[in-house]
Amino acid sequence: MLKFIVRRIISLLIILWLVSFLTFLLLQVIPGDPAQLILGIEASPEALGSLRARLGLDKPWPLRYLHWLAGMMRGDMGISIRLERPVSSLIAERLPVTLSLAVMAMLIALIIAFPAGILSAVKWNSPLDYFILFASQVGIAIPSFWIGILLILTFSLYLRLLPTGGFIGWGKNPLEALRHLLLPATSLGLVTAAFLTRMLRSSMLEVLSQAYITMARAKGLAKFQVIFRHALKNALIPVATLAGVQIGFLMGGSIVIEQVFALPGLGRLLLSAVYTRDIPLIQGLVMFMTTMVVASNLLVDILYAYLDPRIRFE
Amino acid sequence: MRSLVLGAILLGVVILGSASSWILPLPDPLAMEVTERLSPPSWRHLFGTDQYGRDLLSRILRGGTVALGASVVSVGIASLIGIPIGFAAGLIGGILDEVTMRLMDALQAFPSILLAITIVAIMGPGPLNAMVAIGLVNGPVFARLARSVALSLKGRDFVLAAEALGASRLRILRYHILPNSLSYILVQASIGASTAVLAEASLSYIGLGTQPPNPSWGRMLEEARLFLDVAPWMAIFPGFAIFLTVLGFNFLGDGLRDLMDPWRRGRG
Repeated sequence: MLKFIVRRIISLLIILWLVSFLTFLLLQVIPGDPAQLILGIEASPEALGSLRARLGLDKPWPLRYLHWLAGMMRGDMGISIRLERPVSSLIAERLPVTLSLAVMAMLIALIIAFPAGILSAVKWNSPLDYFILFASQVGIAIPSFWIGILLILTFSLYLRLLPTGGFIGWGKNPLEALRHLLLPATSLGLVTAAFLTRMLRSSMLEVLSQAYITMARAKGLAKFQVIFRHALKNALIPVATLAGVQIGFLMGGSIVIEQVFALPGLGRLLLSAVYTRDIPLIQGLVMFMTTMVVASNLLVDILYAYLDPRIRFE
Repeated sequence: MRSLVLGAILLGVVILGSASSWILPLPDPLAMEVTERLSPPSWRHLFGTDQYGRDLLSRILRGGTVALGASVVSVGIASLIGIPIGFAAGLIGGILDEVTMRLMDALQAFPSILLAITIVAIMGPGPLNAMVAIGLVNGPVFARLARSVALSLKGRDFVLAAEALGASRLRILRYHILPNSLSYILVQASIGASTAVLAEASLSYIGLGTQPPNPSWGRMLEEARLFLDVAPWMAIFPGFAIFLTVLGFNFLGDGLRDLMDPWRRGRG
């Protein structure tokens, strides 16, 4: 197990290094001079020169990359050009919102997908199965931000049950924070639920057709016990992989959903950085969000290596 | 078969709809009629009008051109970049394979919309740049597919026979690998088109794709969000259009996959 984890961490580090290189390189080709962008077109050449030196722009890019990478490793992600504050503290401020959104969305997805996927497989080829398949097909095709808008329309504007957007910190009022996150997390979670339901259904069907399941039924075990103790455990492995992939999707989806619900999370910070061409902030955010996704994928990997010994010893 | 037909019908409707926006004598999708602003669906404006009094039906039909364009352009770019890389990696192998695949890993480690946003941030917002960004983001998917197909075909008897007869690598690629991988590529193209429509809508929603006053479904939803309490119809129809198009491509992809792989037929 330890060998497996070490191997995975090494490959994760290689990927993150490549990601950092790509992120840095991509944002070097942006047309325009950042110093000019900050000071405006009327700045004197001397001011431009000294700012360039301060930002390190007078050095060649490989040096700047190394400098940036070294900073990243110490947790120093540079300083936002527009907001004039450390990128790391901006991220730390916004992270709880995005994190709560993603975690809640994943919970909602699991709460829906588990019963739906299992029922659908157990009642294979029944009207219920067809209904669940149809619903998941719909869920995959609906853009999450449209679900968000429809939810606002129904629950905020007509029924007046939940707020239309904005956020109140967990520390200030946990109940209000939950109320503000419910609709955005549902919009994101429904799409993930649709993917997970389909995966759970097909992997359950696969497992249920195996000989050991027939054996368990033949020796007289209750259907309930066979489904939950024998089948589900084995059916979970591909589902866990997909759930890992979906973390990246939730992270990306939250960028748009935060915009719909005016949530002050990482996604909105990123968009404002893009609109104002705040390169250090974009770099820091892209790197940070990707690292989060890659790291949580690693956790999922380790989790299912733990669930399934076959993977550990491959 | 059922999904294939269903997908073809849905996409047929979308294609006819966006074509009709250029042919039929509908109101100009950009023409503002201030006296008609925010009017609900009626015989005159079947889908209602927006905050500038523009006819929503015309705008949605015209928006179809953007969505279909996004799917064609980005799938085109993704396959033109991805497939040659994938074939090269799979057929040549060795260090080339190792390096390109690690690069693909890194590209796929980014959440796809995040990478697309970054690329648009570099190239500047706009419909074409958004489509190019989506295409670049989807390239690794095609590369991986082409590589795995090439790897599995490489060891097959007919390829070995061709090799033994002295066929060049290019000839094997052209006459043996490519024709046999087309069906897989077609399925992936269909799935890629559906994600492209969704991605274009997302990018336009956050203001990085199609720019006003031009109509795009994502952009229209963003405008609808501002007038949700007075003009809910603005939010209904564009979302439905995205949904139908994506559903159409998904059904088409499912149908094509079932067609190639009879064993999967009827298993959903």
